[in-house]
Amino acid sequence: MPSLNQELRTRLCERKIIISCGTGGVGKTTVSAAIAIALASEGNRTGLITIDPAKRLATSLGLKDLSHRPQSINNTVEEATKSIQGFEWRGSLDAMMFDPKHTLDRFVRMTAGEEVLEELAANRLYQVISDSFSGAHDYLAMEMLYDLHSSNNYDVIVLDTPPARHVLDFLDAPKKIGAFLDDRIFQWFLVDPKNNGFFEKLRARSTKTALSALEKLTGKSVMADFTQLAPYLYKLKHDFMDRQDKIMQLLTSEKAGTLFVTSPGALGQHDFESFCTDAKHRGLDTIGLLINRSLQHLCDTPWENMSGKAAQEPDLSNAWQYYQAVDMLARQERHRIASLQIASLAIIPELAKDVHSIETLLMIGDCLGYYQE
Amino acid sequence: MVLHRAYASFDWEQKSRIQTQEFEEKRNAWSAKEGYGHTVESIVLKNFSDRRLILVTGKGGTGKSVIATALALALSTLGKRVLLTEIGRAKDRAFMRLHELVGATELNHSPRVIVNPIDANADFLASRIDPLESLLEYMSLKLRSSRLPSLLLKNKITGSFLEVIPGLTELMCLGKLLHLASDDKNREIDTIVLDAPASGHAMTLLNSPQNFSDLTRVGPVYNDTVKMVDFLKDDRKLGVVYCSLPEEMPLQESKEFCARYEESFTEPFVFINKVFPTWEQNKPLPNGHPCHKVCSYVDARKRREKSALDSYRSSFRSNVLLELPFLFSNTEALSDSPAVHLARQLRDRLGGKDA
Repeated sequence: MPSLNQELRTRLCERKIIISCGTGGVGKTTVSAAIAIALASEGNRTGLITIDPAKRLATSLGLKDLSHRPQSINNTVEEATKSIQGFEWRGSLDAMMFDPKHTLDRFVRMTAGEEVLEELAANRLYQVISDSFSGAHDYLAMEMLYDLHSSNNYDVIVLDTPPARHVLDFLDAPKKIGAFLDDRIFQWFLVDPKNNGFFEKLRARSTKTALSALEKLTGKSVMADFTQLAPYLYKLKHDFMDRQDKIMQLLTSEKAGTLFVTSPGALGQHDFESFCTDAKHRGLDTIGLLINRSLQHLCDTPWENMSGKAAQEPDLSNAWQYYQAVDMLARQERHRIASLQIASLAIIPELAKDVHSIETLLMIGDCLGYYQE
Repeated sequence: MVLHRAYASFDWEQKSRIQTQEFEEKRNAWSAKEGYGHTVESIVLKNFSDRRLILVTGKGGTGKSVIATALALALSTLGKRVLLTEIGRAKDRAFMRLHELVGATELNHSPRVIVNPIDANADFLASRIDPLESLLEYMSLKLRSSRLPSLLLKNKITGSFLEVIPGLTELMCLGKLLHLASDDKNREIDTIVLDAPASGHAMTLLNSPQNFSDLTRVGPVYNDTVKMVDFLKDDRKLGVVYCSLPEEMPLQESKEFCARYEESFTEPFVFINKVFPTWEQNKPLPNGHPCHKVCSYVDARKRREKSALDSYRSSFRSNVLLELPFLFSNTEALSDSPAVHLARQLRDRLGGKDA
């Protein structure tokens, strides 16, 4: 029977798209980079889309500025691994970061052009939307993923998703935007300017009552802004819906899979099973679970069997106190992992070294079973 | 993992293997040495007792909910009438933790009474602010009708319009909170502690009144947003706690959040949570000692924490910075034990000493 670890590695190999999901603070970005390097070393042309990496991680990877353009980091890795005997770099790795600011602007520019963007930028409602519609950020990550995949320049792409309370929230972004661009809303706002306004068009009395009540609450200007915005948004709509369908098709195909990255502490708060159910519900496959920053390896013997020895060494009481405390955390972790029903799992120990160096990224790959031939 | 258990059924004194007092002594010794007197802490915490709304936010995994709960417990123990609350739709309940922390099976829009495990006489209230309920309540109030709001929501056009206006749900929830917090005539609640969404979403929440006042410019919503903005800018009424960790990324994010927050409001309090305790080694470990691996892990961790804290400390004003210890709890313990430990510490610093 293959180990849980081997199973995870096999499954990673089978995918063209690996979406790493998880809550914040578990080292998701670092793990995603480590997996991308491991896959590239095996000969894959690899793409890594990373979101807001720590400065030192970006520096280690040789990434200079926030750029949507793929930047090759082959040289950086080769430089860093020169002295490692037997290390072979057979593939290639491009990384790109994505800047979550003004993503809606970029989408408008891409689909409708610069002039439309300039007109929209003066609309107050648009300003509010582009500032606060956080779904747009998540959506753009998927746009990038789709673009990269369709370019056929990559064998495999690793996508690091934004941290979210609901880890799969980023998948709702297109749905949210789609709802906003719903026909039902637009038909009432797409009015001929010569016409006296949309109230005349209303056939249903209840809608008329509802709209005038809404206007009473928000004042006339919101409605006016929306009426100005509506034709532009309507134009974007078809491009958008079309892309969205293709993206979802890609994500729910067997080419793609999600990897749930967590830490022992976070595992207690967000359980893996509900993640899988949630993913399945959305048509996504789960590759497996990766537990980062494990402490299990630090205490070989349970504290109970050590307390006698500790009592005989009062002058080392503080060291023993650390032992007791860390053992408690390790035990909690083992307990949580034991309760999982899972076929593919990798556990990565907390590493003492700087977590952002290429060397550490290689060590994480090593824990996953790479680089061992 | 059994997490649903009432407060009353748990023996609070047995929770941690490391005695709180011992822990505190060691931590205080360390605090004094590093130049963090707890005068700073007591000044920070004393400030909270008179705020009407304390909003707790931060990066995911930094312990927002635990700190919010700890603040609610500590303040209610000191005799305040506290409402501990979060924002969320009923269908997202599976992703919320606050009800577990207070030992309830669920939290709803209308508050429920929670028994305070530190002091049985100091009950407090807990609720979940529901966006839809808040919207309905607000519209009923403004349109002076109970029929119109449901018509607005049921109608296809206005219904989808309300659903997609960016920031509207945030505005309604915040409106509900501020309404509760500023009702001085029938004051039933002294302090509301909000376990707020993570940083980015919290900013959207706090900016929603300004956004809507820019958007509407006239009308009932406009008038209310102006009042809301006044409330939020008043640092006697609102306190914002930003939870962070002693690590590079969370500290960088705290710095960015503070900068953005201070553009529009006053200054937030930064709580650096889960600072690993420093227990000085009495003498070097002999070769091959079983504690070696653990101690070198702790050393490395402390070094990383120190270098992260050192490089960011100057970014924060010292009077708004509070470091909280990493709390160990054993396997059998409920997930809420850190909240109680923190609450005890916070209460001790808040009460008595400054009177």
